[in-house]
Amino acid sequence: MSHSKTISELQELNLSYLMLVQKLIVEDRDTAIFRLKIDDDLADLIADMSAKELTMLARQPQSLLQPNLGPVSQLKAILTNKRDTGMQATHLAMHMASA
Amino acid sequence: MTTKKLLEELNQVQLAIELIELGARLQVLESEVSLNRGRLVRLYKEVSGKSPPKGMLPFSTDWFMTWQPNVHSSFFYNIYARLREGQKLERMQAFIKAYKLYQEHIQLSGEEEVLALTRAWTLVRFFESDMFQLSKCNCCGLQFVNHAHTPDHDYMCGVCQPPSRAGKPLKQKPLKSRKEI
Repeated sequence: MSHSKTISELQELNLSYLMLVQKLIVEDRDTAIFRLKIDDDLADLIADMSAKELTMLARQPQSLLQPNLGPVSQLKAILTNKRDTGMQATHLAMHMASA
Repeated sequence: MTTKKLLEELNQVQLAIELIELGARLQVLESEVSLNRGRLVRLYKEVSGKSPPKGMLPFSTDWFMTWQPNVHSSFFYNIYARLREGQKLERMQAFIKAYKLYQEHIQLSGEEEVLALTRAWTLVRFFESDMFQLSKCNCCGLQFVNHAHTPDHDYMCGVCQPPSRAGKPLKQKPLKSRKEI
């Protein structure tokens, strides 16, 4: 099976993600878990991964990432709110914080 | 034994400094930090470069129910609850992190910093004293600060259903029509 350009992009994204996760956890573990919405076990696992393990995981032609956008109906309600009261940014931030 | 006490004292000093830097009033420090008042006042002067303001803290629940403060408070409290209950962080740790994440949002979005640290602390205390509850909006599904023991099956938040006179003129956009505050 030939490697398509898209699969390479996916693999790169996977690796970038894992490396960013490692960086975030080292900088501030609790805030990282808050931002990434992963649990303690996964945080520990990724934090301790070697370059070899990271690469092996990243090379899977599967997304290691799942969207973290909360329930679609709720997101839609926030984005399509016609009442312009200047609160949309905070409303969205609230949604993301609770996702 | 002595090492433990010293370490604990250092932790308390560190906590006090963090809170002062974020804008905590003296009453917050006296409540949360186990150093005596004299030391707290001295620390306050050293860290902030001025004397602690005098006067009682505004202790009204009403403020948190007004339109913009309600949204900002709810946003902050959601973060705090996630860190405290979801991630099981220690109380003051969760509080400080949550407040910093609130400030980060203010910086990123350019919105006004409606919720000062002392207000945020008062909010947490109100929840702990069972004076506030979270009510779920029937439109966006998010949880908002509400008076405790309020029937809320029909609850709509102030963003999905703003009060008729809400909405300050946006600074960036030209005014199309005059909006009353």
